[in-house]
Formats: sequence, C-alpha cells, structure tokens
Amino acid sequence: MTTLVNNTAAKVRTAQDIQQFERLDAALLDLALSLGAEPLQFPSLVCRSVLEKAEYPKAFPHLLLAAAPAKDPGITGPALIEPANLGSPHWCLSPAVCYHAYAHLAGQRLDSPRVLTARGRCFRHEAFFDPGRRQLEFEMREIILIGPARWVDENALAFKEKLTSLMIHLGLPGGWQAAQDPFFLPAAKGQAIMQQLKETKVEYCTPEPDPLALASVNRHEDFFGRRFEILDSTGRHAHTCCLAAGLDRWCHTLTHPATPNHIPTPDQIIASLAVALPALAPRLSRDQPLRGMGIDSIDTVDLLFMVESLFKVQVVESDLQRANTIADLADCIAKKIQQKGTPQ
Amino acid sequence: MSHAPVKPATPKEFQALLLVFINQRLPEIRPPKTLGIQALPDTLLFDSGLVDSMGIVQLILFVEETLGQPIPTRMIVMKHFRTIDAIVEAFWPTHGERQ
Repeated sequence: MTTLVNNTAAKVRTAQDIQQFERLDAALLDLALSLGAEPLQFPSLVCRSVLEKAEYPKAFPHLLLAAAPAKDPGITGPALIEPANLGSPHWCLSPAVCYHAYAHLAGQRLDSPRVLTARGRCFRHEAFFDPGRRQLEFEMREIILIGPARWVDENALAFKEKLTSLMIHLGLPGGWQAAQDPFFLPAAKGQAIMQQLKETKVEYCTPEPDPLALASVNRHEDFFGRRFEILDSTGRHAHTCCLAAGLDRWCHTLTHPATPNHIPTPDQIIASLAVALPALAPRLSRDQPLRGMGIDSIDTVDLLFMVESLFKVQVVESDLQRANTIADLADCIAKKIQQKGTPQ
Repeated sequence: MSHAPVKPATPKEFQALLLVFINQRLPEIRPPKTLGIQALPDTLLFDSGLVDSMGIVQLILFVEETLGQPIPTRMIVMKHFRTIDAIVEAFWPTHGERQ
C-alpha cells in the first residue's frame, strides 16, 4: 500500500523552535511540579511485553511501530534490513509516555496516591505527515495520576482546570470536547464505543475553523491498575488518569496563529482510512466503485465510524449512495471538513 | 434458533424485546461479569456488569436491527444506554431524535 508519509518523521527544529519548545515545556513542568508531580524520564523504546500487557496492539495495531534487529548482520546492502532479515522485535517505539509509568509501578501497592510527570518522544504510524500537526514522531509531556478512584477523579478535574488556565495564559485558547481515540476497527469497536459512552477521553482543541487537539485528559478507571497489578492503599486496583500535552502542536499553534483551514486531500483521507481499517484497505483505491466492492453493512458501519473518529464529520447513508467511487467519497469527506470550518 | 428481528409495535414491546436480549441472548454471546443479575427496565446496565465493551457492540446492533435503522454516532452517549428505559426513550421512533 502506498502511503503519503514523506521522509521526515518530525519537523526539524530551528534554534528559535528549540527555545520556544523548551519555554513551553518549562511552564508545563512547573505546573506539574506545583501539583506535587515527581519528575521522571523514560526511554523512547518500550518493551513489547509492556504494550501487550496494556493491550495497545489490540486497540491500535495500525499505529504501532517496532524496532527489530538484523538477523544476519553480514548481509550487505538494502537486504540487511528487509523483513526477511529482521529478527523478532523485543522493543517498540513508545506510542505514549504513560505506559512506562504503569510498568514502572507494576506489582506495587501504593501507600499513597502518586503523581508522575515525564516528557518523552512518541511514535505512531500515521498515514500522512503534516509538520507540527501530525507527525510520526512527536513529543508529549504527560502528568499521570495513580491512586484510588475518587482521588483520581477529583484531582484529574483540578489538574485539568489548572492546565486550561496555563494554556490560555500561554496564548493557546480553546475548549474541551469529548474525543475518541482512532481504535482499530472492527476488533476494538467495543472499546471505541465505551470510550465514547463513558466520555473517558476529552481533548482541548483550538477554535474553529481549524481545530487542533493540543491536550487530552484520559481516564482509564482501573484498566491499567488491573493489567499491571498496581494496588492503591486500600488494596484495590488503582485507577489512573493521564493528562497529555502535545508540545509540537503547542509550538505550531503559537507560530501559526491564523492557521489556514487545513483540509486533508482526498488521497490523504483514503490513506488514513486504509491505515485505520486494513481489512478494507485493498478495496480503498481511488477508482474503486463503491457498489459491488463487497462492503457489507458491518464494513459500512466501521467506515462511517472511522470517518467520524478521524475527521470529526459525519457521512450518512445518502452520501454513500451519491458517491460512485472511493474518490467521490473522499471528496465528499473533504467538502464536509471544509464546510465545517466555513462560517455560516 | 431464528435470529430474524421481531418488529415491535409499541414502546412496551420494544422494552420487552430488550429485556429478553439483555437477560437471555446477550449472556449466551458474552457471559456477564456478575452472575445472577436479571435486568429490569431501570437496571443500570453498565454499573451492574450486564453490559461491557463487547456487549455494547451487540446491544447497538440489536437496537439497529430491531428498529430497522442505524443509530447515529452522536446518539451513542451514556444517557441513552444507561438503562433499558433510557434506550426506549432515546430510540423509539415516535419519541423523535434527541440532541
């Protein structure tokens, strides 16, 4: 499958970028420390077994990137790192910082709730690269709460309010809204629906016409507490919550305040859907007629669900009926994205 | 066993079908976390453990097949699925669409 990912995983930072980046992170770190967070620094590689325990490959297999050694280092040329010569990957590139935190506390009974903060490089297999907005490699600072359910819920709310104040103070206006992770469908559909139902994830997005998620608050209930056997002081599985800030996007928003209405091209839309729905990927080429392509009702539901999850617009049955090809559908989605950002 | 959806004629019939689905059919597909609980129209479906992340997919499919129309994603919110009564209130056609 051809992707539209270019040869750069992240925007190259200039001296000015670096200065701004460090200034923003310093402000965020100060906030975390004022909230009693313990600073840690985790590696960029995460053990495959940690992600498997966290069920990341089950929920987001399409985003996962792994590091594999060469089986035979004596092979020369490109064949050295072709799949046939790659060993089984023991390590993955961290898709988020907080997984390290759960592994760090695995098997412990916490005498008191913990607040950790760490900044790390994160990696996700994105379908296309948009500097500063969507990158294969990006940095997040996360504040991770681990403790009894009520303590986590109360402090998550308090921390969220302080994070909001900080972002506004730094010149990052926006608002919170319910969000959904791009779960792998159909396998992780139940998790996607539960996240939406329970509103366990909210994102802070810049205003229209070109909203960009700058931060998120993710409540996990006891999901990670159970899987990593982290107990709170009462002996129950700990609840966790992570507040994550996308530092590259913070910088981008400040240096591009009048962001033009970003509309992905139809090819980018098709590539994103193909990555998110690999079962449908062979049938998602531009000229593929929609009718007769063997999309059943479940595939259609998954396609519409993923369109809304990725692009925040709704495609309804009548839109599908009007589109003759996949390219027509992608054009329809692009138009809806544009209309969403156009003042009424 | 026939899985052809029975079309309810009234909200009460829809409620009855949901009760059968939650109490009899869903446990066959996905055993509940907590055994011995029988759902009533006002039973909290998620808090009771009767419906989880796998069950919700089946429940949504059941509602769509029974009513013969897809559920818009924007309607998949907790207040519409908290209890059987909430499902009937949200999705029975004569009540209209909710925001």
